[in-house]
Amino acid sequence: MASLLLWVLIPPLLGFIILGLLGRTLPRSAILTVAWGTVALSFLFALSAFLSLLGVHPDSQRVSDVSVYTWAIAGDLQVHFGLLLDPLSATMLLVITGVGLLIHIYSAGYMADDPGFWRFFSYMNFFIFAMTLLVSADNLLFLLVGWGLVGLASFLLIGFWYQRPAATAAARKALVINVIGDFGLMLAIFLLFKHLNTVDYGYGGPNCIPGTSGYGVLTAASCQQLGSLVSLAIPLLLFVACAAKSAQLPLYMWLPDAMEGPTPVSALIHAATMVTAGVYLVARTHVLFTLSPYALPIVGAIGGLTALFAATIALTQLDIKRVLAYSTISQLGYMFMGESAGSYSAGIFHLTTHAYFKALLFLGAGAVIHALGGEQDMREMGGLRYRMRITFWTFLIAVLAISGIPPFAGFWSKDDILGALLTQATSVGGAARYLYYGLWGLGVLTAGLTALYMFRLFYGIFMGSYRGAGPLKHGHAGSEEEEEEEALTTVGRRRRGESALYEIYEVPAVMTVPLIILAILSTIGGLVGSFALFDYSRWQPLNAFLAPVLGSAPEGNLPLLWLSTGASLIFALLGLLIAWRRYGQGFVYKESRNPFYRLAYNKYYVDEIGIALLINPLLWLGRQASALLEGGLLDGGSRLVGRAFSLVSAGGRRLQTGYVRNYALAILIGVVLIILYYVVRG
Amino acid sequence: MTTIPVSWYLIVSALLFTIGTIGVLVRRNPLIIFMSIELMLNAVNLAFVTLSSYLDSADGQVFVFIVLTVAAAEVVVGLAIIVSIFRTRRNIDVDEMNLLRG
Amino acid sequence: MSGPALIISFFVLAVASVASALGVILFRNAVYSALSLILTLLFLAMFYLQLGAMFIAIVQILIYAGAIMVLFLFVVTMLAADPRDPDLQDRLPWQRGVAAVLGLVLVGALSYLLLSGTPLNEAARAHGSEALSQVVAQQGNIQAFGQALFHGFSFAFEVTSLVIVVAILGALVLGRKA
Repeated sequence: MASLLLWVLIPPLLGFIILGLLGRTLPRSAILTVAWGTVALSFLFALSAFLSLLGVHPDSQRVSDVSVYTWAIAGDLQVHFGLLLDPLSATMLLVITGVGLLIHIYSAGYMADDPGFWRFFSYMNFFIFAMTLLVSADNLLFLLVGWGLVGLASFLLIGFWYQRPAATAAARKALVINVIGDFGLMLAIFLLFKHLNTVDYGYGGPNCIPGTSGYGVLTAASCQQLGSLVSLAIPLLLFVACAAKSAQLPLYMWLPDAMEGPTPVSALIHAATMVTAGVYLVARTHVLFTLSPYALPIVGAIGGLTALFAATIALTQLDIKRVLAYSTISQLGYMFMGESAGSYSAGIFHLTTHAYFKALLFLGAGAVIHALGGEQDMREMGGLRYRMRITFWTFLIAVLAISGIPPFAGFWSKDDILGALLTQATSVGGAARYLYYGLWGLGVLTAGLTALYMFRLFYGIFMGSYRGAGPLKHGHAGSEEEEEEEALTTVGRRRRGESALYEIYEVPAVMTVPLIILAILSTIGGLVGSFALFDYSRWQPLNAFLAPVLGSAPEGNLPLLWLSTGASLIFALLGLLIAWRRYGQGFVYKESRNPFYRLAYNKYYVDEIGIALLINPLLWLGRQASALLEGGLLDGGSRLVGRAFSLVSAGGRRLQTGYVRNYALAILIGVVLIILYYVVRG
Repeated sequence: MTTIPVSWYLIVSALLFTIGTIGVLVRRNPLIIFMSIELMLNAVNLAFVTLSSYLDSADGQVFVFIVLTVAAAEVVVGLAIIVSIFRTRRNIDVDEMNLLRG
Repeated sequence: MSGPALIISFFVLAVASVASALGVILFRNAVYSALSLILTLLFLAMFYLQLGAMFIAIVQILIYAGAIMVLFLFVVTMLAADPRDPDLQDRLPWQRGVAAVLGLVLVGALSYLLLSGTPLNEAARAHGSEALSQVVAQQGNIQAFGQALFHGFSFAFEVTSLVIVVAILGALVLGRKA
């Protein structure tokens, strides 16, 4: 079965190589054939791997781990490049290749006018390869390889429009923060190897006994031997990696800036797949997180704080992609909360549904931006429901899904998380109980805020009357200076309001078809989760499928679950209502003097604080060091050597008179000296 | 047969050599410098012939023969160089050819 | 020649050759210098005769005095520069004094070394049939020289032909009108 996984990996890699080497010379149709074809092949192989897994009974046998080749042997350390097919990796692969395929198709329309068409698709194929490698690796070392490669793909794609200074700065920021995470992951791997002598997930490793807790990562029995300090350090270091990759506090700053990349990239990498790698890693190594009583509460606390923090920022943003970016951060916080309650399958479930509706939201926003010729500011939108019907309806479905309105997908998964949190709060004792109650409260509050800011966005884009001045006339690839210049020179001529609305057209079918497919998934995708709410325990396909890897979620108490659901639903409806009251007749931007508003609008000044506390001192240190080392030591040293030479040669050049007879004299002096030596010697 | 001591011949040779050396050092006409060099070569030849005779071996005379050949070749090339310099510069003072200075 | 005549002729030759050599470097006119050099070369040829090197003496006169010095005279008359050219001041006047002092030191040192009796290696003398005097007595002067040249130094002799070819080509290249 794992050979199937190899075939999931190979096509995107081949596509990347072909497009990267030959893409410049290929016609557009050939580029699309390669790009779509490889991802479609990958999806088909992932699907058949998934189906083959379903055919295996009993559930606990649903695993296959095949070593493709041995990468390195050094003493006790044996690293195999192995591919692991189990329910978790199969689910992730389906999401990655499925959503990836849809976004590849969509990109053909979105990037149609871009001169870097081939480069874009070669990077995208590379990303699919890296991400599938990440989830199908059977040991932490190759997971790290995939982890680093997706970071590279993200860097390349954020900086895709490298002519824009903002894009390259954002790409750099993303890379630096991701490398912090990579470092945490590396340290965790070192610690694991030091204490357990393995980097494998625990299939047949010398220290891990399979079958003790399903067939999970590094089975619990083997990990008991870790000391309490190490058993806390490893999950925390792993979580550093997760926080950097999945944009959790305090390493989230790169994700909003990453919106400088093309919108399909934001949809694929920075919403649906790559940023959920942290959630995957926690689920994959959950045994390590359960070793210490403090690890999971810390994860939950950070997730909860991030969820609320990002939601408040999202409330105030005007750039539609930034709203979605903060919403992504908030939803990722949700997933970590769910995992911290021990319900890893709830986290993965939310990951899956979130992949559908957040990809849909980004692609819908991309369609709007495309139709408006690169406009991203909500103040210049409104009333688009008349002109972009498909985008309007699919966007509405996505907004309902993320807001947690039944029966859309987000309702089920969010409900799963909140229910798990409340269950955990009532079942654990001690101080942790208050933490989980608090997290549940945060989750419910965030659910309300989510509905509020999503409907604010929705009303701002589609409702009311059009406030803009028609589509910007150039492609979105132009530089920002150009945009501003054009806005200044043409603002007088361009008509505003309703008449300009008729210059806007719905995007082509190549973009709307993925929207429709994702809308269907966002509608019914939640049904694969669980119907625990209705006490119908036989229908929870995803949870049951994942159970052998992740363990079953704690059984919930039925009234408690209903309480949780009711509360979150009430808050969501409340958010919806407030949004409708304030923005239902169209979005009106008002400068607010409210200090809390200013605080959130300016993203809590985190970037400014970071620059003042971290960047500037580092820059100062670097300048001092460069002045001292470069200027004083290296330059000074080399200047000293140079001055010594010029002093010596200033004297020496006087000897070189250019007169041949002087040189002859020098020879004669030498001869006389030699003869005199013999005279003196006797 | 009384013979003249070898060292006398060698002293004559040394004198001639030194005169040639001084000629190279003080004269500015390259032709005379060349003649001085020929003088130095001949001083050495005298030493060779003297020692050949003293050692009763023909080797020294063979050396002289080869020195003669090389000197002839050198004079041919050297004079050609001087002529071509004179053609371009209209002047053959060696002190004028001092571009090789620091 | 017998003893006293030999010594007298040596001193006459020595004084004459040194005087004419001084003439080479002291005459202002290059033609006089060249003629003076020819005289020196003739005196040296006589030294060679005195030392029993007949072939070398003849070659000295034929090649040096006959061929090389004729070439010199040609070039000297061709390139005669005005000796009273005001541009041609000696830019290194001090070098004359230095050269004179160094020359005296050199002659003094060499004479000291020669006269203070650094013993010549008697064992290096050739003996028996190898000895030059034996071969001369048996076969004659020129034959003795030819035997030494073609038996012991045939390779060097061949190489000199190459040197001469190169010199001729070089002179041709340099003498061409540019």
